[in-house]
Amino acid sequence: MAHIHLEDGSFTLFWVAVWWVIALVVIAAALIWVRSVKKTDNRKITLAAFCTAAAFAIFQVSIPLFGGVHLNLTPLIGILTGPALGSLIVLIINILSAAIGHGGWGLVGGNLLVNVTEVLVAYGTWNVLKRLFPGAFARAGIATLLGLFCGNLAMIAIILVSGVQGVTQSSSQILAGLTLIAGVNMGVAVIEAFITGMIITAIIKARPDLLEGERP
Amino acid sequence: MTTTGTKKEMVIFIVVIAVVGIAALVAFRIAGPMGIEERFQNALGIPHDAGDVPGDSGVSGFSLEGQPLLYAVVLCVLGIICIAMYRHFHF
Repeated sequence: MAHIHLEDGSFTLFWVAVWWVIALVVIAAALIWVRSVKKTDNRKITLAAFCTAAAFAIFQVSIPLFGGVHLNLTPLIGILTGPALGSLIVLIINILSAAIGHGGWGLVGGNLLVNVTEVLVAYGTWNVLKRLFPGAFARAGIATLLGLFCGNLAMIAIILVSGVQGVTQSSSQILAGLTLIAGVNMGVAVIEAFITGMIITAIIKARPDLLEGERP
Repeated sequence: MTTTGTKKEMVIFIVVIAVVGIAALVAFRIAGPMGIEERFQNALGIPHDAGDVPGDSGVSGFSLEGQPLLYAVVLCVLGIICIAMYRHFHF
């Protein structure tokens, strides 16, 4: 559950623009990918809509664990909808979240890159581990853990590269602090790994046609 | 591919979960109990409630956060952009 929980003005305008431009390039690539599919599968679109609603809702629910955290469901989004639709879903979630004050508008670009990393890594791991982990539960769980771990790395990298305005701490002090945040986040990733594993298992049992190559 | 999987892969999964869980508990013990925003502020050395200082309106001359009217305006603009893109590309 990596998300840059900083207010507008934390990054300089230059870095806000840089992350937004990179995020827009990613979104453009996702749009081109989606449009390149001759006939879009209506089931995927429906699934994407459900994923958007569910992930946005769960994004706002603070779990009273580790002092208060929230789940993301980004790895689940990646596994169910793939990288192209997944990138568009996390864009919508980040915009709606910023609209209700969950992270600043200027940080939507950076947060989008963090969440896209989670979507991509989870999707890739889910597919790559097919042979090694034929069981869906463990594979989905490990894909979730790895996706969220890489999301945390992306979050740390973006903050370290950008720097935070009005902060006197050195880079090594910031890195130490962010590493602790990533460590705590991985505790939530454990819960999310179980949830993703259970949801994927349930979907394969009930609707195996929604996930290619899977059978109950 | 099946939903259940083999015993071996479940053992690997549980070991990974245990290692990550222990690391997270150690991190939590060091960081201490606090909310998400507070944890970020502590990690980066940001003074608490720095964003609420009067007159701190950033480079744009106004503060967007916490102003419902500006949020509504930005949302409307984004909505219009989405409708325009939807009509243009005919998804």
